[in-house]
Amino acid sequence: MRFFFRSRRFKIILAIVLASALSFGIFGIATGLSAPQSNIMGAVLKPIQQGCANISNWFDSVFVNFESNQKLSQENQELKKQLADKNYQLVEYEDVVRQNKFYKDFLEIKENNPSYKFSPAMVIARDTTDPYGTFTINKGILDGVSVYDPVITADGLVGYISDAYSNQSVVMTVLNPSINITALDNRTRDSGNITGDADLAVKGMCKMTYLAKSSSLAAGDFIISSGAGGVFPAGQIIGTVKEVKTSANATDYYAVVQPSVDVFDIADVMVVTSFEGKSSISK
Amino acid sequence: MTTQHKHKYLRFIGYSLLLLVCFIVQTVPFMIKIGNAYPNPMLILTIIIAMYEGDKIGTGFGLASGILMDLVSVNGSGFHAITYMLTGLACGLLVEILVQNNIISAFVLGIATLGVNSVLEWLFKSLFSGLSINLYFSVYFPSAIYSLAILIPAYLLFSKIFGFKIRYKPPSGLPWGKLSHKSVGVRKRDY
Repeated sequence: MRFFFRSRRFKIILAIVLASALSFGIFGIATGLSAPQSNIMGAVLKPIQQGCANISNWFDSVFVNFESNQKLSQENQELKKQLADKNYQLVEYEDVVRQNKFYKDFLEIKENNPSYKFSPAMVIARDTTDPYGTFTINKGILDGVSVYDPVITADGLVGYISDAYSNQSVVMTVLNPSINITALDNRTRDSGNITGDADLAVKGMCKMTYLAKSSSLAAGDFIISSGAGGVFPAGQIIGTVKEVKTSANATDYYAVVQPSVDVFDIADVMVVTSFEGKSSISK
Repeated sequence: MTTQHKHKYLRFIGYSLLLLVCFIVQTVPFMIKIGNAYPNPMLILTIIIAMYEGDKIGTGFGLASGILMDLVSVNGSGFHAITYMLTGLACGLLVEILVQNNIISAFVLGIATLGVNSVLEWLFKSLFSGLSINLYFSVYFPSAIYSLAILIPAYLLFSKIFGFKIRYKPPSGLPWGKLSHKSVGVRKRDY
């Protein structure tokens, strides 16, 4: 190594470097342009520098995105939680609105009939093998419900309790041929008997039988319960008359009645556990 | 407890849970219906269990499913308990002594039992109010067809869930017994 620094080769190289540096410096000062060696080096190094800069920027962006993704993800989780809470509140609100409407309708009935005692109930099951709309409610003997208790909605009479268990009861509807409700035409006060019919039940209708030949029922008349017998309270809307027909034996008439309540589509009902005029058979 | 017993008890627990699920699905207020037709998963399950397990177990599960159905029926009369029990008994006996346990038998037994049950229900519901043919063809017949349509997929799914292989018919001295042993592709039941 020592010999290299003393050799002629080293001295020549040193002389060339010094001469180049001096000349390029004077060139730069005199002309104001960048030195040629800088241009040459720049041209050679530029692609490499650009590549390195791109790589550096990419890494930079990755870390920045990672950081902002984490923040965004956190924010997203918080917003989702807030949205879930709001949805839950909305469901509760809708439930309260529905219950409010339900109780408001019954308040009117209660105000008109102060002697009624109600037990609200929900439909929990249906007998799918039964074409008459028989359903089960979530109230039973322990809730004060008993057999023959009438079941109503704000729209009218639905039927009565046919079987009462401890915590649930089965409701027989007005479409069932086994039901018999003494009824009146609200306009003409003609009396008859509401009962179900197998043919009419398929169309969701029932019939009013034992109409006298002198009766003047017409389509559109409201049929209400008469209260006779003490099983059903008086004045409950049962349905509207669709048409009046002659019975098969041609001795009397019967009216096809469209119930005011769609028994296949109800979700909430009220069981009337007590009312003025209730008979002992249903107590 | 032997493995055979353990499998048996596990199967029965599975059947019981399936029975409860079918009951809830059948009686839920807004079940999928086509027109006036509802399927009858309880009866289908009774048929399938009776085919796989025999007459005694079939009778028991038929009785249990019928009692559950009577809980939601008017007058809780026991009608469903009797008819479903007899369905389980009939299907179990037929598979024991007369037919093989396969898809074709399931289909034929389904036609017979669903048909007979639909007629019995129609008679029971409308006998005292005037028999109405319209009621039968509007409600009960379409319901039987609907139930039949889901019987085969239910049968196959049941065999997959409980790991059954096709059951062979035991020799009973009847001509059918010899024929079944010569059948191709029929394997022993795996306990």
